[in-house]
Amino acid sequence: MKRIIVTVGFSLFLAGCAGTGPQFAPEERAVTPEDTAISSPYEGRQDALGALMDQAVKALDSGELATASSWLSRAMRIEPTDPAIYYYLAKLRMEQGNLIEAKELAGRAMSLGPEQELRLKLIDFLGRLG
Amino acid sequence: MSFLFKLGLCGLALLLTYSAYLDSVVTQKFERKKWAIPAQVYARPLELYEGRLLNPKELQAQLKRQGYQAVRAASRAGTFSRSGNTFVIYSRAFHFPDGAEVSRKAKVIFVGNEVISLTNADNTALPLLRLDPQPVGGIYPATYEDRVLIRTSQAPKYLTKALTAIEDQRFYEHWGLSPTSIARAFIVNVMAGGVVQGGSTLTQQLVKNFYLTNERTLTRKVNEAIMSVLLEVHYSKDEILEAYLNEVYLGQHGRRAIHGFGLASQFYFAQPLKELSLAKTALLVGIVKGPSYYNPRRFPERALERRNLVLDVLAAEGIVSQIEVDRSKKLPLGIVSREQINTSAFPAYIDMVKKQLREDYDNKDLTSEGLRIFTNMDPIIQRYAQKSMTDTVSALEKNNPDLQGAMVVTSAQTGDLLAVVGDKRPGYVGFNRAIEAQRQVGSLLKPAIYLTALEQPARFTLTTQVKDSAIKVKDGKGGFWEPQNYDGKSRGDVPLQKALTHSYNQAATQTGMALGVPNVLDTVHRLGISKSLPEYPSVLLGAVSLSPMEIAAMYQTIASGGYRMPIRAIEAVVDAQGQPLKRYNISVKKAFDAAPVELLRSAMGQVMREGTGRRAYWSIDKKIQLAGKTGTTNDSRDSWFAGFTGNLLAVTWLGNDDNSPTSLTGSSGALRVWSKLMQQIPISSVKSLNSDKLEYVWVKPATHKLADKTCEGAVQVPYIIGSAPREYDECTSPARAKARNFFESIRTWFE
Repeated sequence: MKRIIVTVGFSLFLAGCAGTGPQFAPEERAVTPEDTAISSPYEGRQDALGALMDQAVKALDSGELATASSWLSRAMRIEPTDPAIYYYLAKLRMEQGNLIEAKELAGRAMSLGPEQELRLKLIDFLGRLG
Repeated sequence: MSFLFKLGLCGLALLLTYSAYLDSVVTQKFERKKWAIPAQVYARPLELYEGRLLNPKELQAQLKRQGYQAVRAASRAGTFSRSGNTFVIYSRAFHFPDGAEVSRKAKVIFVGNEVISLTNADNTALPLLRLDPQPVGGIYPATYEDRVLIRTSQAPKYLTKALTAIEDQRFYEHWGLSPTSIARAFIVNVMAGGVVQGGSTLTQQLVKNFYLTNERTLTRKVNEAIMSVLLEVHYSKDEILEAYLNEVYLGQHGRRAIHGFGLASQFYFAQPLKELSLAKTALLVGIVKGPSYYNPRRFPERALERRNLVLDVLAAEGIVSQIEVDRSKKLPLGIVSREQINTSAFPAYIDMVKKQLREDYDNKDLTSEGLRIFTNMDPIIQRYAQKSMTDTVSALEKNNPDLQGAMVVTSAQTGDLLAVVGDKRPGYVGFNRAIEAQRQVGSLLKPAIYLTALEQPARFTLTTQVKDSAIKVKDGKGGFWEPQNYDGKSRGDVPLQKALTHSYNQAATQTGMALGVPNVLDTVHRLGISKSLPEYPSVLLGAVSLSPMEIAAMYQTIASGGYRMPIRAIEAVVDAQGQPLKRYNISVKKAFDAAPVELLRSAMGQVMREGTGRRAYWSIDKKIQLAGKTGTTNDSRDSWFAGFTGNLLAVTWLGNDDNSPTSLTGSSGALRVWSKLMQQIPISSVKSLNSDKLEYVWVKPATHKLADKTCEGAVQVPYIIGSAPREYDECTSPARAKARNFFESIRTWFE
């Protein structure tokens, strides 16, 4: 169900009509971007990569791992050297319990020259993985 | 009399028993899953977004290949309009493994080869448009029977009406057999002056196709009649019609038999069935009577006549208005060309898909369960790759009449398999050289030698002088091995990077022997070659046989900056109900530290700038940074090139199947194919790897000494920190050298 809601939410988002689109039942409105507490650094991005990453981060935060994985794969096809994609993929693998793969992916993110903020997150992430 | 009665009774009993037997045959096959549905393979979907590099001509061609109809104003899914650099695309809805993509009407504006604007048709924002993916093949059972299942509800408006009007007017009334239909067909045919209608009912035709062989015997006719009635007893008209729509034979594509209207629509028009116009629907209905006689590709005039006849019947029966029929009759057949038939056009790629699928699935499941396989094939790159191979080979054939080739293209950073070419002929089914050809790899292993060296910064740097001089070593087989350079000359001490750039054999052997053959082989394995290789010294110069796919795996690790990743043809597999079965996610494994890999990549960039790969820049923009390595084996039996840009990696091979000599080196053969591909598709520069272990120092490589940047021959070279030369070249002005020495001494003091 969550998956459907997320998909519907994204369709709305893609259509750029979160406010003017068709009316939804209140419980479905509960996950439209402005009502959620989840903060995605990609919130409101209108570019392809940003839109995909926004969905990926939100799916990851709500534990929709398969969905998050799909969004990340699509993002990677557009920008295969964006370290942030590998970082979130690493987080996803950690959620799935695959620590070895998580570490490898975080290492790959590091090798792609992340900005300072992401760099610190990666150092922290790798530190926690030991 | 009583004898005859008894005989009759006996006969009736036999008939009843026989009918009961036939009854079980009829119901069993109909009730069980009716057909084995081959797995359908899809290419990667075309995605459009602002910033996407794509030639608008290429977009138009791809839309057409996917059966999108060019119209003046796109008003329904599966159509598009174009005005200059602006497209309006009405995309089809599609169920992807990650969920449903809805149909959208989007406006795409290009400037040059870049999408600069993507919006919904009403100008609201649209970050991304994902088209439905192109079907690119199937995995067929031994019978090569192929179909795309449809429901009656998916049929276009006039299909069933036209079908019954032409093939069986009393379908909804009869009990499987229809004597009046036979009579009526006879009259209609006489009046039309040819065979327009057939006498057997749709039910009989279904029975004939579904249960019986094609032989013309009385027994078969009797069986057909009994089974037709039985089928009608058990099932509704709609069930029978739906089975018919999916069963009927509608064409042949090589060994592949085209069954059902769903697949026929793809096969002839590259469109989903429900999008078909009246004229196209009429053509398919017309073909039912004789798929080879009315083959619209071979006999377009015959097919056109037949289609128009069907249309006339529709008008005469009052099913469609005369005006609409007249309009439809003026339309061309609208058949996509053979070259455009997407399915099975890329058998080499499908081979790789099968190979990866067999690790997880039974062949039976693949050919019968209706699985849908989503792959990473990029249909545009795949076409360019094949064309680059076909064109280059045909240009070289004058001196090499039997020349063959293979190519593998991947995404440089992720290992996604984008294209596979297994033969110079497009669409060739058979020996797939990209996967199956095991050929000597020659100098393609040299990067492994130098990477082994560069991992030891205390011993080797890019400017460390290595010996390019005669060497004689035990060959490990009881004799001696004395490798020569390609031009027969030895150059004495040369900087390591130059030895790679110009592919000096003696320098490579000297370096490899100094490092130890097992250590070099260990690097080869870490790079991604899994099979074990013999520990002979000649391995250093590539006296081992590998396939282009294996070479791609090896160079992938270099292209990705030291991360080993499997080459992935498949992205996801879903079952017939659309439920995801398995996803093939990216997985990476660090195999090398970034610093030595960056040194190697720098040298492989030099190969392209001034070495054996420089020919690439004859046709590729000099601003784009490339990296690669040529390979030529003894007597030019194999011509190889493996190289990458920032976004793509490609391995190309040319040679003769019988391993006879060619007239080609890696540079004059395989590199030409590689360059031809790369010059036609958007490529980006290879970027330096991010590593805090590297520094860039001005040196004079010829002397392996520090130099002022104004010195002749001075260049900036990357070094692993602490490994750069310490001595100054004499060209450096004494004052500067002194100042430098001063700072250097302070630095070392702090260290």
